[in-house]
Formats: sequence, C-alpha cells, structure tokens
Amino acid sequence: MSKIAIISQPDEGVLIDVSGCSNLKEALEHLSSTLQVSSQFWQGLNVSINLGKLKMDTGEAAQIMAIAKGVGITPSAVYTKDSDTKIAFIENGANIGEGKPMSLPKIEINPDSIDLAEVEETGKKSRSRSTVAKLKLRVADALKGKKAKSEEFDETENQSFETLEKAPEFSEKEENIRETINKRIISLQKESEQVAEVGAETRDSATLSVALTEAEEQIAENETEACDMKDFVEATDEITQDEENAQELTSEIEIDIEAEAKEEEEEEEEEEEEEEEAAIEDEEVVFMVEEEEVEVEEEEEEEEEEEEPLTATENVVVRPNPGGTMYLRQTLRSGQTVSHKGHLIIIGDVNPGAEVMAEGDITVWGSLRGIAHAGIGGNVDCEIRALNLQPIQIRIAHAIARSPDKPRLSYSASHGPETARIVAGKIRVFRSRLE
Amino acid sequence: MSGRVIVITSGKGGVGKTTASANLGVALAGTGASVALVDMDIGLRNLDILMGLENRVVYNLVDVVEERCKLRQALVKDKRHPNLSLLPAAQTRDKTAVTADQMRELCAELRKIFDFVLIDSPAGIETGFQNAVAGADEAVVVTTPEMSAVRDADRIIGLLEARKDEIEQYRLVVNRYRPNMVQTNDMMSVDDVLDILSVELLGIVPEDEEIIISTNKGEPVSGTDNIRSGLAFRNIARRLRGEEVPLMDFEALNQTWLNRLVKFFSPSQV
Repeated sequence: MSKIAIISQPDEGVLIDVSGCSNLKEALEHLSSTLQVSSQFWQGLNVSINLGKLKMDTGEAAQIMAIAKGVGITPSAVYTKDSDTKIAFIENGANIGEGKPMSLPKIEINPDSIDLAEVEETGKKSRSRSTVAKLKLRVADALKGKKAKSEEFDETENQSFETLEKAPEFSEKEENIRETINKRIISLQKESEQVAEVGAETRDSATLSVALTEAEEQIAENETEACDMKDFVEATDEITQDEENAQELTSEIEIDIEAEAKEEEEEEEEEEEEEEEAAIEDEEVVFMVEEEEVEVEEEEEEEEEEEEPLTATENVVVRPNPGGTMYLRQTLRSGQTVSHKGHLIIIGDVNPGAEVMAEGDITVWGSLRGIAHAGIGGNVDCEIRALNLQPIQIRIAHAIARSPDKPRLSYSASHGPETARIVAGKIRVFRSRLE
Repeated sequence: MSGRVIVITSGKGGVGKTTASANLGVALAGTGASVALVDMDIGLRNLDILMGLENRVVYNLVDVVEERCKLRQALVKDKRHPNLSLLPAAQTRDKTAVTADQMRELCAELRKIFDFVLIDSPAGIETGFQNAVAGADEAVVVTTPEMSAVRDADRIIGLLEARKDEIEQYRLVVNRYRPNMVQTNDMMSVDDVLDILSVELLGIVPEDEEIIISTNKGEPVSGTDNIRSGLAFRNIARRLRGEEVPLMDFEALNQTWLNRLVKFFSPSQV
C-alpha cells in the first residue's frame, strides 16, 4: 500500500514494500538501490518483498530475483496481488507469501500536545554555566576549610558540600589520581595566573578568588588527615551579577570529580540515575578539566539550567536494543518510510516528506529534514541525532515536537550535530558538545 | 444542518488547484463559515505546505479511513483562522489507499461538522480524481487560459456531466490570467475560454508573483489585504456563498494613470 517502505521486525524479518511504485522500472530501481547500497545489512536476514498490484512476467520476475541474489539474499517470500505475477515468480522458484505482508507500526500520539521543540540554544555554554556554579562552590568550600561556610553560599550549596564529605572510600587508584591531579594543577596554575591578571583589571567585579585543591583535600580528609596536598591555586575569577561588567569575560576552570559528586548529583539531577549507576559500577573517576569563556549572566539562570548532564560518563548508558541495529546507506526521499524494531542508523539524508521510525534510537549521518519517530514502543529514553537536525517533526515515544513556523526556503546546514531527547516530558534539542 | 462539499479539480496539473483550494478555504473562513480543507492528493501532498501547517500534521486522511485515528485527531486547525481545518493527505501512501465509498462516508461525516468541505483533487482523471469527486455535490474547475489546460478542463467537465446525479453544479475559475497579454492577443481571453467550455464562470484570478511568496511562506494570499489575487479569491468565496459580486475590472486594474495618459495620446486611440 505504501509508496515504498522498509519494514523490519526481528521475529519476522524485513519487508521491502514497493507496491506504491507505479511501474516495474520504478520498483526495480527502488529494490536495487535499497538492496545494493547496504548489502552487508541484508545478508542472513529474512527478506520478503511486497509487489502489490504490480504486474510482471517471468523475465521481469527473474530480474528481481537476480537483484536479490546479487547481494546474497534469497527472498523468503514475495507478496503479490496479481495472479500472473504470482505464476511468474513461482516459475522463478520464489516462495509466494501467504496472507498479509507486514504493515507499518501504529503510532499513538496526541496531536493536541504538539508543541515547538525547545532548542537548547547553546548547550555548551549553559552547561558550563551550571558546571561553573557548582564548581565555584566546591572550590570555595574546600578553601574555606572543611566546615567554615561562607554566607555567600546558599543552603543547597552547603548540602552538596556535605555530601562531598561523605564521599566513598578511595581505592588503590588514589595514587594515580593524585598524580594526575597534581599535573592538572600545575597546568592550571599557569592558566589561572593569566586569568588572575585579567581579573585584576576588572575593577569592582572580582569578588572571589579561591583555591583549586578541592578534590584532593577532601579525599585526604576522609581517609587520612595526613595528606599533604596544599597547592592552593587561584582558580576562578567570578564576575558578579553586575551587568556593567558584562563585557568582561573571565575564565573558569572546571574540575569535576565524578565519583565524589555522584551523591550530590543524584539529589540534583534525578534523571541521571542510569549514568550514576554506571559510574558506580565502573568505579571510575572522571576528570573534566575545561577552560571556557563564560558570559556573564544573572545567577538565577545558572540555577535554572542544570538539566544538562555534566558528566563524561553519559555515554556509558546501555540502551536496550532487542531488534539489533538496522543500518541503511541511502537517502530517503519524500514518501519513503523506514521502520525498524531496534536502533536505526541512516547514512544519508532524510528528506522532507520521508518518515523514519524505530523502537530504539535514530541516528542520521546526514541531514534529517523529514519526520523521525524514535522509541515507538514507548521508550522515552530514546534519542534522535543528526549531523544536521532540521526535521518537520520529531517524535519520541508519545511525545511530539514540531519545527518553528517560519518559512524555510533554504535547508543548508546550520548548527552542526544535534541530539533530541526527552527532558521532563518534553522533547528538547541539544547541541552536541564535540569541539 | 448539512454543509456543502465542493471539489476543486482541473485535469491538468500545475494550473493552481491547490492554490485555489487553500485560498478559497481561507477566504470562506474569513466570511465566518466553518471550513474543512481535504487534501486528496495522496502521495503528493502539498496543501499542508501552502497552509503552513506541514509541521503540525500527525495523522492523515488514510489513517482516518483505515480507522487508525479519529477524524477529530486528524483535522489540523489553522494557525490564523479558528474555523478552518485541514485534513491532510498521506504522503507515504498512494491513491489506491482509499476507495470511492470510503470517501463518500468521510464527506458525509465532514458535512455534519462544517459549512463548507473543500476537496483538493489530484491532477489526472484516474482513481485519485474519481475518489475526490465521489463525495462532492459541487465542483469548481480551475483552468488557465492556455489551450492544453482548457482541453483538459473540457475533458473534466465531460466527466462531471456524466455524474449529473451527484454533482449538481460545476463552475469555472480562470487562473493566472494576464490582461496585458490578452490585450496583445498573446493569451486566450476569458470569453475564448468560455466559448469552448460553455460553463458558468465563477471568477478570474490574475497572475501574481505574490502567490509564489505566499506559497513559500505558508500564508495564502486571500488572508492578506492589498493583494490583487487575494481579492479575486475573496470575491470567488463570496460568490460561492451566493452573493452577487461583479467581476474584477482588469482593464482598470492594469492601468496606472501614466499608462492611461500614454494610451490617451497613442495613435491607436485616435
């Protein structure tokens, strides 16, 4: 019934549906392009073909079988509504499919809930802001001695400090980690000296200059008081909310110790449970040292934008993938659909009017301009990624988001890779942090 | 109350069926009527793009017919006109996905809810056209003043006449009319067209660059003031509602005062 569709289900195999093609030539082209461009994918799969009402004689049926043989597959079933075509395929030794071929999955989405996709305009920047906010307090806490707490920090910040103190015991890795930290500190010292110079010039803005030894200090305190890490480094120059100094940019040095921070983060970011668990399992300590320019923003915003995960262990999450990953090397044009139980990877573009559906994630190595629906079964953890994410709509599980209403004459690449995922029940788009 | 089901058709492609559907929908909604626009061009849908509603389409006509969703879920409300809704076509299916009987049922359902149901028919005279016409009781035939388009319109009118017991009325819209080309005898005049087709004229729409702009913007011209083609569509909508509206005076519209001055002194006037 469909114009052209690839329907894939692990228990039944893959159906290539060309019944929507108006003539044999078109169907042959679709079949050969689909089968040949991603030939490795098809091998060993149970592939069936639906021809619908297309009429074919023996010779033409032989052509189709030859295309399939060329990529090493024997169609498990050929569905056709035409009796002559049926005979033609039987003569060529093909199995004729009985009953109805597989159909596209049913989607369950409430159209009333359609809303604009919120784009995290500058994912990186906001992350750095939130990270910086946290780091500031950690650094400051470490500096001010274990218990002394400045009035400048509010309650939540104090809490996070407490959890830091309760950090789990440190393993043998400690020595290595210390070494790494020492190296980092030395390099950071240099950088922060420059930062301090810049900061000195900002007359009434710099209010804090704090030390960097947070991690080691606390580790040492927890285990043995005898730790002799005392390299206090002027690490951050914080600029106050003062808008007059908005032009002044300061560098922030971030150090993130994942293992220690995990309790704190569980409190703050409930959605990240999976990541945290992964971190515990691995007993890995991840350092993220970054120096970034931070735009001066009001502090309120810093508090708000903390959904963005800041750990490097994010990718450790194991995604369920019952149907395996479907790998397609072709551009999907208007009217074409692909559905798959499992993850879907498309090397090529998805043009406006085309639709891709998957029970797992959808990754498009190219431009996604059509409609993408990930997590069809209702898995809200699924993600949609594309090198160039300009979809008409994105759907994840039962959530739906649409593109802005402004006219689009040009579809040329814009922002670089982006990822769409559900955060707090809404689809949001994040810039990828690869830089 | 029962609404009117009007199919907009042409035979030839590219004469402006979809543009006319969108604009008449907006214009009729502007007069206060509740309107449903139905895109029957399954597999090559465009009406949603013209209306600027492409990004809101979730379900479509085929989903409704196959009972994968409710009719209400598939209807997309227009951004600007609360009493205008669009029933989009399926893009990933083909014209055989619905039958004439299913269309009749659907139209019966729609006319209970809306004052006007406008059906945008696909080009051609095959299944798609037959389905589009199935549930309709009136037709608007769109043509351009070109021989090929008029020939196809004639064929369509013949087919509509054969369905006399269903289609009560069919009227003509001449689209993309260029008065200055008609004056220089480079284009068929409306009278020439009517001579061949001998049908009731519903309206004339001038060629207008604004149409291209509006198509790309997703805002039909009939929703905007000060656009000639938009005014023409609004007039057609009023005629559809039964008002007497005189035809646009293209002579006057086409001439600035300078033109007139030149013409006044030109030798042909003497």
